[in-house]
Amino acid sequence: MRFFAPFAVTTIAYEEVAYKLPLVKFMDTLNKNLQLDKYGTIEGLGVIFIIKPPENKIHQESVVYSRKYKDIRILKRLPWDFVLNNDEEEILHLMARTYLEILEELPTQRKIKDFDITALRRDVERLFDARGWLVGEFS
Amino acid sequence: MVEVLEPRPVKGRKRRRPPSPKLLFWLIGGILLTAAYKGTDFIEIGDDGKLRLSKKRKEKLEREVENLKEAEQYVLVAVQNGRYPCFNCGLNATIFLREGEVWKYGVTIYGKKKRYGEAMLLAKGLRYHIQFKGKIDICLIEEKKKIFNYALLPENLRRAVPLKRPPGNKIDR
Repeated sequence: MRFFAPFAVTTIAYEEVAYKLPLVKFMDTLNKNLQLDKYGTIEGLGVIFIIKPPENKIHQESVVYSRKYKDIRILKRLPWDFVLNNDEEEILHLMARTYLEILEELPTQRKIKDFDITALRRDVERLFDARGWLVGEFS
Repeated sequence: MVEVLEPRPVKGRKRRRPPSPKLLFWLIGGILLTAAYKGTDFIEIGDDGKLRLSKKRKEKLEREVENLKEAEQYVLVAVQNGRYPCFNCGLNATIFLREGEVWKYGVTIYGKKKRYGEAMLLAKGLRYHIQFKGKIDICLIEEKKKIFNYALLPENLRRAVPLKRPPGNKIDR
């Protein structure tokens, strides 16, 4: 396994917002309650949240699937203004919703054999809902 | 009696004058130049007949010059408590880092390099924090200052044997 955890989550962000993200809480919830190998042959699902002003284009959204290493690496932007102006709880809810969006879009972006993404998305949604992370507005 | 026959006179061939050295030089030079640019895609002959960079090559130059104007100086910090590779702790060594402690300082510009950085974040359990944004030369100065001053950070001075530079920086750059 290439990633530091089956459900690996990290960030690329400006220092002033980086420490606001509850990464450890988010990751621990996924890794302690779900087993990635239950959904197929994928061994690592890595998500990197990009939190930068829109004009900064050094890092861009992408989806990289490795058949050899059986892992998926996704870069996804979170809205800069929202993270800058909100606190940890709101940001956690935003991360949860964005994570579900990633799982929903993944089958349209990459064909991944032997991976039940639908079942994974369903279970992740139930988990986040049980934690109360799917409330709140993001406009 | 031996009859001596005079040999038949042989008509001398007209000797051709060798080509002038100057002409030879331009001929060979032209052939080499033609062979050179025809075998490559980075130079071409312009409308005025002069050699210039190809359009593709010129665009790449302009793009990369722009990229150098917008660089990032970043720090990689531990996502969670744990052991991380250490290039300044002896062969095959690791070091214990707490969440948020520095692993490496670096500089990046837009380009392929970021791909390896992204894979490493997920492989090693690191967060990427941007500390400074601007021209490449200023970012490199910032990076160097931070690598050197790491030795004085409280998280480093707390160790039984402080490190000279961050665990992930192999050299002073």
